[in-house]
Amino acid sequence: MTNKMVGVASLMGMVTALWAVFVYAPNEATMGVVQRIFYFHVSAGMMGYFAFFVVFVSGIAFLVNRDLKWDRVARCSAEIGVLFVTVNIAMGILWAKPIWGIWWTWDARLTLQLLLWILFISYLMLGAYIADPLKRASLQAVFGILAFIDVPINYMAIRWWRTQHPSPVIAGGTDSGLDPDMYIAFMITLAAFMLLYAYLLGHRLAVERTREDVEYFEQLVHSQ
Amino acid sequence: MNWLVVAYSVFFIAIFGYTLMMSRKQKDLDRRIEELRSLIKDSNIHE
Repeated sequence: MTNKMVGVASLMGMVTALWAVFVYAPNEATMGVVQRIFYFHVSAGMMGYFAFFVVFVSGIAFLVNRDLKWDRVARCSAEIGVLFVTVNIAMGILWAKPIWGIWWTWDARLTLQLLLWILFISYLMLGAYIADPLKRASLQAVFGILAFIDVPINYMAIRWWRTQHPSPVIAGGTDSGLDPDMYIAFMITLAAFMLLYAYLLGHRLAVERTREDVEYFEQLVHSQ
Repeated sequence: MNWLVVAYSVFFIAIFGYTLMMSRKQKDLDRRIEELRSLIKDSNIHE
């Protein structure tokens, strides 16, 4: 399946997700219509975590095999992860203001999410400052693996500590849960986000491969 | 309702902006590769 087909599938997934969020899902009783931010806010956060998990796994694969293709996957996935976490934080802020009355609070979940965002921005910046590909890939692999530690802590933060951020409604234990129709809408949205991640990663990897080809041809020209 | 519209606008602007940026970058790189290929061809450099 070419990346264009994944792109079309992802576009169709997004249209279906918008239908599920705005037409299929019922209104939440206390928050009203603004609760519909939940579907894209949580899906973006989860795909951000998944993108950083790919960085973690690719980092280990690179350190074991010393194959730069794993480094390429890790860097591209980190960039998309930062994009998803940026959207997650921005949508969270826009949900917090009408519901909590504040834009931001330094509770465990929000602080760890901001830290995660900063860590992976630093990961991308680190790559920009080291010229030697093997040295850069090794350092980024170690940094990516260590930065990923924030993800499980962040996931558990709303389970371990009492936070301003709500307790989990998915996989949160016996007292938690979603209305069945809301759950279906959320699953449709999450599936659309998975397709979107696959498309963006394919697109970003294609750009990266072309950039490497350009570098190769430039070296060839300059060596003459 | 306004918050909802702003939040979803932020999402779509970010995603379409990123995709557009990647497409432009790809086009620039394709153009550069063609320039380099013709330069290599003209100067008889072996790939």
